[in-house]
Amino acid sequence: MDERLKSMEKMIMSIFIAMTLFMSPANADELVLSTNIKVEYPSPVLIGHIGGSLVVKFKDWSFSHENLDPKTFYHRIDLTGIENEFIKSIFNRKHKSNLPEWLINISAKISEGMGNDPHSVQSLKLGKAEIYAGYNSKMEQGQVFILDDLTIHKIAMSGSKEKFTLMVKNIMER
Amino acid sequence: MDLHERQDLKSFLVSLYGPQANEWPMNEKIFDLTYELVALSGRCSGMMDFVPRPMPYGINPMRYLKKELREMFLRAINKNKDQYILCVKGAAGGMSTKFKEAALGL
Repeated sequence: MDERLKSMEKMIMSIFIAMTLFMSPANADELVLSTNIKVEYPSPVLIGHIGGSLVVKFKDWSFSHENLDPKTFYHRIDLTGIENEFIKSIFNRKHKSNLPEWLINISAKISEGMGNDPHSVQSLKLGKAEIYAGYNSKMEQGQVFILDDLTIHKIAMSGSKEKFTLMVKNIMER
Repeated sequence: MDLHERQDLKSFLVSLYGPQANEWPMNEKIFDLTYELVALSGRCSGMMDFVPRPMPYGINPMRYLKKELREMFLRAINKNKDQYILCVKGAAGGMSTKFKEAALGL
């Protein structure tokens, strides 16, 4: 009797181990941004597409992704070739860039306007890519810019700070 | 909103968000978000003249504002884009998801 119980126990344990090894994490979906970068997120309520943007909506938060177009990111200014420097200067006011003074002033105004909580501003390395992120508690929204090999990904998030932190954590290398 | 109001709103949003805003319907929800963006960012002194304070919580701006004030607001943001876009660009980036959701009717 004891042996039968033990063998059943072993069988259940091996099924459990097999399930944890071969099943993907519960309800995790992936958004592939490039050959190097992906974002993992829980199963959304719905996914929408408008223009060049993807909108991923959950019960109490949402985010959208678009590729930043340096020609149209800022009204009447073509940032082609200097877009990375411009984004860096928005998030890091001490960043020494080769941007002209008038453009540095614009990036300073944008930075102020973002109203990011001081401790929420992050700059991270992810392989060759760089991530710049910040969250505004008053407006309950956050922005992430991923400076990838060939493009800049812009993710705008609407929801709580906890969800924002989780979302940034789930931007990872492929 | 009448045709002029919709044109002013679209012209401002295309300058703020780029050509993608051409695909957004210029409706009540998009107007409310634009108004919310200005009111919450609170950074453009000229623009703030059009924001009645205090704005009752939960009130829909499109219905709360009289038509003349709404027209003045839209005319002002459209005519002075260069100045006003600089004021709201930072906050507008984070709000873009809400605009896209509204454009999708979500």
